[in-house]
Amino acid sequence: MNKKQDKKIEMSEKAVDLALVKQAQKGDMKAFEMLVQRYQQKVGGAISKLIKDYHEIQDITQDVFVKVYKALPNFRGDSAFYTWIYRIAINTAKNHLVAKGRRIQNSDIEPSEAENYSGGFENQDFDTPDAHYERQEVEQVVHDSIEQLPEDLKQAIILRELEGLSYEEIAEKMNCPIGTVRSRIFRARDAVDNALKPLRKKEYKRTNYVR
Amino acid sequence: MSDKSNEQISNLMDGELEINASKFLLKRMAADKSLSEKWESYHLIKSCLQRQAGEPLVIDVAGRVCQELSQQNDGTSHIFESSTKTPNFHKWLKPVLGMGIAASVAFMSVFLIQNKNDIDAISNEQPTIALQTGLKPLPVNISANMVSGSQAIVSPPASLSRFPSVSAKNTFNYNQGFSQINTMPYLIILNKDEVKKQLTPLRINNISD
Repeated sequence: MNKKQDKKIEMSEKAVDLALVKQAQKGDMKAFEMLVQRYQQKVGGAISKLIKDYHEIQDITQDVFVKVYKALPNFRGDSAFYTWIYRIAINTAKNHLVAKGRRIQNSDIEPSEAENYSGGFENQDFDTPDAHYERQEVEQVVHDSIEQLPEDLKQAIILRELEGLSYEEIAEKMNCPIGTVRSRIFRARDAVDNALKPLRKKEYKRTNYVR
Repeated sequence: MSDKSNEQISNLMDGELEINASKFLLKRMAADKSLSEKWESYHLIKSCLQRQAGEPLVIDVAGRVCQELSQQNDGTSHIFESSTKTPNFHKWLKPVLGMGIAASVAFMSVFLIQNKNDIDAISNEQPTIALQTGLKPLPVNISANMVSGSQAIVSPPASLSRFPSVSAKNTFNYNQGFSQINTMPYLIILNKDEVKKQLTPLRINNISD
């Protein structure tokens, strides 16, 4: 087991974003769609710190990405892509509140803090009971699938998604080569993906978003 | 769609895929729907796991965004074109300016190097004259006065004046040798009066600009 031998020059997450941005700047709509899929949850989560209503969150998230698309030629990659869209998201949410004549709360949340900031909305119901149930269903399937995974796969995916460790760090923690970590994380995702397939098909037929 | 491709997508989203493979996969995903669906699905799982308590699960905003963008009449695809386009005059102005600057630099370089060579040649060289008469090479006895950088008053060695026939030939050779040293054609005028005055071998006395 030699971790050094597995070391290659990887494209960082920031570089992946930049590559997608460049493709989108050339007019590749699919690349932009992939960027939205990558960040819609984070943007929606950031907006939910300021706005409670789920439908408003969804509409503003959509507006944010339309603005992002139109402003994409101005993005030079000096800052991280998420930092850039986060600022657009917060400004859009604030403008929305001002337009509605509502008070702006938590206006000083920084991007780095936003991911760990709950904003006191833990007990808010964003949507109808039916929609709430659907959202819970998806999450339940994901969490159940994770629980049913073999221990090594479960540990790898948790260290990656919840602890935010790099593959190298996971390899050190699990005392295995990076290649094994890659494989374990992929197999974990694939197992959860297979469990979600029937549910996702049902959800997508009914609505274009899960609540 | 192979497991290898899926594994690469999993690695790519974590920034753990090798650069060339990443570039290739990103291009493939733009064209292959099954690959892009896998990208979406893996991000859904990520969203579920990373979602904070109280946050809504936001999914498929991408589809709505693309739909809205395509519905907009202004044609957002033109946004990129217009914003990235430089004004028309810049297109031809740039090369013309570049060529102008290059030409100026080249001209100045040639001009300066040539002038420098002229001065260096005059100051550094101590030419000798190989006479066609079989005599030893004589030290050059020059009294060269540069006049406006284009004229030089040259006096042949006084010793040659005793052999007018040789002197005549030698004058020619001497002038030829001098003009070979200098790349610029100089008008060389022989000052016969000065030849008479100077009985000692002449040296380069003065070079003035």
